[in-house]
Amino acid sequence: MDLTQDEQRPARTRRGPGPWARFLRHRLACGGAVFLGVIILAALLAPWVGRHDPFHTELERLNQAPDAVHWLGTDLIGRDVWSRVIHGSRTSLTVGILAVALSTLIGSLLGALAGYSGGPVDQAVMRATEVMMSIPVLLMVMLFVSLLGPSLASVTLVIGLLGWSSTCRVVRGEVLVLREKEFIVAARSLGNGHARVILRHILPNTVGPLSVIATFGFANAILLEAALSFLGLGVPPPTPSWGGMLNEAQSPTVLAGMPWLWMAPGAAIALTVLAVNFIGDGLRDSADVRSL
Amino acid sequence: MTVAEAPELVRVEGLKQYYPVNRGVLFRRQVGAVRAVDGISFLIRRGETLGLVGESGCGKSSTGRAILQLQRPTAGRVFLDGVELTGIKGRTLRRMRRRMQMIFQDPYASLNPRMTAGQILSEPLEIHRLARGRRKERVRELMDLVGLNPGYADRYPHEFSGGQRQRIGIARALALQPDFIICDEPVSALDVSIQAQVINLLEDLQERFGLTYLFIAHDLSMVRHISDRVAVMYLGRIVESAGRDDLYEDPLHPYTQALISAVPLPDPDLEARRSRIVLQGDPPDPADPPAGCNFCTRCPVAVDRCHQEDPPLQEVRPGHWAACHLVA
Repeated sequence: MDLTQDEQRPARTRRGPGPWARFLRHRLACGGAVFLGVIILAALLAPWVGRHDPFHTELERLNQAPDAVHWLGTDLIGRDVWSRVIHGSRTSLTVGILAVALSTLIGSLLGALAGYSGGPVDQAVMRATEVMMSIPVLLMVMLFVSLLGPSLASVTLVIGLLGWSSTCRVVRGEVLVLREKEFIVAARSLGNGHARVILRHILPNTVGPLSVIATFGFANAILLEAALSFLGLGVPPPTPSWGGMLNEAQSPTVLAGMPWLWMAPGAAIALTVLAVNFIGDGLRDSADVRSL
Repeated sequence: MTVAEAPELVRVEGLKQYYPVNRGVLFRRQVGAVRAVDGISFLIRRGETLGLVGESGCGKSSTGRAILQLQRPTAGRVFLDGVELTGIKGRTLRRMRRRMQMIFQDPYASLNPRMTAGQILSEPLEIHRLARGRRKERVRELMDLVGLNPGYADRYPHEFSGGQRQRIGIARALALQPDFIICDEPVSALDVSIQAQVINLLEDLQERFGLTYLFIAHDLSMVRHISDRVAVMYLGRIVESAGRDDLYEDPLHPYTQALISAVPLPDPDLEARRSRIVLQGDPPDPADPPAGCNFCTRCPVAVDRCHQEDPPLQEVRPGHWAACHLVA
């Protein structure tokens, strides 16, 4: 009986659809991804999509209602609202992406270190994480941004530096499981140092849960930036930002009489955050690392 | 040169591996220890295969990991070719890792799912800066050596069958051209039809490269097939060790006798007349071993002395050691 021949054939077995196919089946997530894609395109092509200069003030056309020239009307000092909403997406996306990159980097390294070393290091990192989680983030962000002075860089940095705690916890949990796997023992028996075991063997295997957490973190960062800008602590004017536009539209006369000033930026924030959260849900349901 | 005269390669002296048992929510304190490996000694000669058998949880795998310094042993000393492994670290230990490798039990868990077969096999070469400039070639050689199509180097572990994955694991262990390989139940997770192929591969490789094996298993017939000498473990200790034929034909320790009597015979007439010694109960908790002989709670022939005195491992006949009051 020649079994070797049979065994030579690679077993390309995959039970059920792959993660990608499972994501595509998630309708809300796909819708979210399409919407986010449109927003990203708009941000990249803002000078063309916006049609007007977001900084140009037309003093003879203040507080204009929407018409054929100014699709969403003009604001209190005569700037085109459509153009400002489109350009505002750049602010939100920049802060979101950079802040999440920073917090994912910090969170995954700290989480991997804690889970891998165990003992006092683990205890210290976990207590730090608990402290971070027990203080309201918005409060801390406001404090640090007011210390650093509001700017795109400081808002990004502060949101990124304060948002790592949930990433850290998730990665630590994954590492605790991975640490006991035979391939980690194998990696060590080959002579890998601890740093290489973490970077090459452990962290790549946490990509699934990590991408889910990062997606939700992205939505959170966009919300935080909007909240800060609304409170006047975000990206300083005249740079267009969705939260900032809401801030300028606070007076009762505007709220009641000029809805075009706040409806578009408000909807932009809500829809973007919702879309990103749907994507996160889809990723969570589809990213089963073990089935890869 | 026969194996019996060959120089010794591995020496293990009084190896102990205890795992702490902690209690307490806020203040964790150690309340005891699981004695996974409780003072075992043996030596393996160059080119020899030592079989290490025993039931699940008796400390076989812990012994293997403690020898390779993947866990720091609690006590005892381990030598490879005269160099003490216990206590060394860093670069010295890394250099010794080239000479000792391990093949793992579960081919589904022992390969990193995010690395291709080629990456898995070239990693040891990268770490030890071997085969520089011709790593791809070396990886192909290794795959060829274990009977894998070198064209599959770009595939991920999930694209291979269990037997093929185990071959990748074997090739990885061979990449550094070690002297000594610990096979930790290398076939027990595989289909029976594949087991024989992998065992034959291990034997071929041993002959070709003069490898020395510590073969850990719970399958007695597999161990009989591949080993030169066999050691039987029970609850963290070696209870009997002897040459293969000696041990299987004339087991001295009651535990070994019970294990061997449980192996089915291929001849139906003999099988019908086979008398089994059936052990009662489960092995005791290794955190709380019984007084006296570790085996006394399940031993069919235990006497009073067995419950009081711990029997030492003694050479009953030349080359045949047993830890039992009744055979000394």
